[in-house]
Amino acid sequence: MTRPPPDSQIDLRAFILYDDYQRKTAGESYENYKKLCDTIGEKAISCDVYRYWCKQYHKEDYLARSKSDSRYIPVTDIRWCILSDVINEKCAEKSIDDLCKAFQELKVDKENHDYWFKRFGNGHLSFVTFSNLPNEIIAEIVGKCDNFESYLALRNVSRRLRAIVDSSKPAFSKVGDDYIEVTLNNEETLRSEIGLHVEEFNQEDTIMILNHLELILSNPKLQLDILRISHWYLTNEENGPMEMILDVFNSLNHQLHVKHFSFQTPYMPYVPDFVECLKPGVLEKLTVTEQEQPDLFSLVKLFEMEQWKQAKHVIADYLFISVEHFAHFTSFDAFIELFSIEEVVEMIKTSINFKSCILKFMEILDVEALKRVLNLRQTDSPDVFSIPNSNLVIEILPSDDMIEITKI
Amino acid sequence: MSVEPEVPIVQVEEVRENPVLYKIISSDNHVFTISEHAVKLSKTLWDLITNLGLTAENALDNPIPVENVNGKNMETIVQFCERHKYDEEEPEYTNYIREFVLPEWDRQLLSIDNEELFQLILATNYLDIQKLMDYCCRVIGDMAKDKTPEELRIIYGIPTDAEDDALERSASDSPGPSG
Repeated sequence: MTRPPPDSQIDLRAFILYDDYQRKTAGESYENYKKLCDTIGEKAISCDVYRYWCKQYHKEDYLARSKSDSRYIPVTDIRWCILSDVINEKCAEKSIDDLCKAFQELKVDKENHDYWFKRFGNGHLSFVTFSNLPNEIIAEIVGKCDNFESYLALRNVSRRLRAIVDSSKPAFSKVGDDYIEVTLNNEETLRSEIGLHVEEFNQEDTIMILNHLELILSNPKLQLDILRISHWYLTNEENGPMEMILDVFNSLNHQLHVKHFSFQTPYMPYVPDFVECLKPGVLEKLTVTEQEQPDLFSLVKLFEMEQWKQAKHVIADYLFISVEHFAHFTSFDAFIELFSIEEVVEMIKTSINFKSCILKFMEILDVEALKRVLNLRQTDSPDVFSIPNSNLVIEILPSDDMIEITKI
Repeated sequence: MSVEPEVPIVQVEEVRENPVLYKIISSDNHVFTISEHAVKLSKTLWDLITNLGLTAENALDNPIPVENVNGKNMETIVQFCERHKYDEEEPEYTNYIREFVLPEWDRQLLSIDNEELFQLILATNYLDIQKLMDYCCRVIGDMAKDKTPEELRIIYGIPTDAEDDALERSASDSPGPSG
C-alpha cells in the first residue's frame, strides 16, 4: 500500500511521531492535523483512519528503537512539523529545539529550519520541489540543459534522475555552438569539447572522457549536427586511444544520428570504420582531412557505403580522390591535379545534383593554361569566366590555387 | 500569522484592437481578464473556451474556473500570454546552429524563487502553454550550470538514493487500515 493517504502532500508519519513526542493524544493530534489540512487546503482523512496510522507508526517506532532495528527508517521530511509549529504560534527557537529532540537521528539543520519557518510565517505554505515534478516535465528540463557538465552532474544526483536523463533527448546540437570534439594530440591526450565548454584533460582522464563519450553517444535520442573527431599525429605504431574511441562507436547498438561528420586523421583506414557507425541518409556532409601520407586504397570501402552515396556535400582536404566519386554530390571541395580539370568539368556538366564545387591545386594556378584548356570566356567580372556550351562559371579565388565552379 | 496569500486581482490592460476578452477564476477565487489572442497560447484554456461555446458576446458573463492554478501563478501566466500573444511562430530548426537567449523581460518575470518556479511549471504544464514551458525548463536547467551533484540535490530538493529507498520501504511495509 502506498504512503497514507496516497494523494496527500503531508508526511503523516513525521507529523504523528512529532505530536507523539509532544505528548499529544491521538485525538489532540488529529485536531492538530485537521488544522494543518485546513491551512493548506487539503482534505483530511477520517479520525478513525488517522488513529489507525497513529497506532501503526507508534508501534513501528517503538519496536524499531527497542531492537535497534537496522531497518529503522529515519524521518527525512520535517517541513510539515515546522508548519504545524508556525500554525500553533510556537517560536522558532522552541520549534527547532523540539524537533531536534523528537528526531535526534535527523540532525536538524538550523539554517534549513529557519528558512522554512520564516517562509511559512510569511504565508508561503506549499513546497513543491523538483522531485515533485512529473517525470515528463523533468525530462523536458533535461532536454533544455545544453551544458555538458550540468548534464553529467544531473546524472549523478540520484538514480531516478539518472534514469530520466538517460532516457531524455539531450539538448546538444539543438542550440548553441554544439558539437562534440575529440582531439588526440601528439602526447596522446584527449581534449573534449562539448557545447561551448572547453576543458583540457591529461592522459589520466582519457578513460573518463571515453566514458563520457560513450554515455552521450549511447543515448539513442541524441541528434548531432556536427560530430568532429580530430586525430592529430601518429606518434608510434599503436593507435591505442583512437582504437578506444572506435571501440566506443562499435559498441553502440544503433547508428548515430549525425548531419555533419568532420574527421581529421593521419590514418585513412579509420574513415570508413567511423562512417559505418553513422546513419545513412541522415549524414548530409562529410569532411575528411588527411594529415600525413594519403592511403587512398583504404577509402575504396567508403565509396561503396550508403553513407557516402546518400550524402550531399563532401570536403576532402589533401586527398586526391578520383572525380567519379563526386558525381552524386550537390557540392564538394576537393584537391585535383590540373591535368584532370577537363575530366572534372565533363563530369559536373552531366551531374543532376551538382550546384557548386571548390577545386584546390597543390601549386599556384596557371590561369592562362586553364583558360586555354577549358576555352574559358571572360565575363564582366575579371576573375569570373564562363565555360562554353554549359551553364557553368568558374571563379579564380584570391589565393590563386583554388577555383570555384558554380552552376548558374 | 497570515496564511492567505496576498494576490491582487489583476486586470490586464487590453489592447484596443482586440475587444474579445475572457474571465478566468483561479483556485483561490481571484479573477483575471485575458484577451483572446493571449488565451490562445494556452491549449487547455482555448479548448475549454471552444467546448463551452464562449463568444465575444457572452465571454465576460461566463468566467472560466481553473481549479488547478492559484492566483499568483495565474497572474504570471496572464502577464506572459499578454506579452507574447503576437509573437511569430518559432522558425523550424534548420541546419544553422543558433544559440537560445531568454529575453530579458521573460528572465525578469521568471526571477522567482525555486519553489514558485516549480509551481509555475506545474501550472504551465496543466494549461499547456508551450512557450512558457520552454522558458521555465530553460531557467530551471540553467540553475544546474557549474554545480556539483550535491549542490544540485540541495537546489532542486532531490532526495538521495537512500532516502528514496527509505520512502519505498516505508510505503511497502505499511499494511494500511482495514476497511
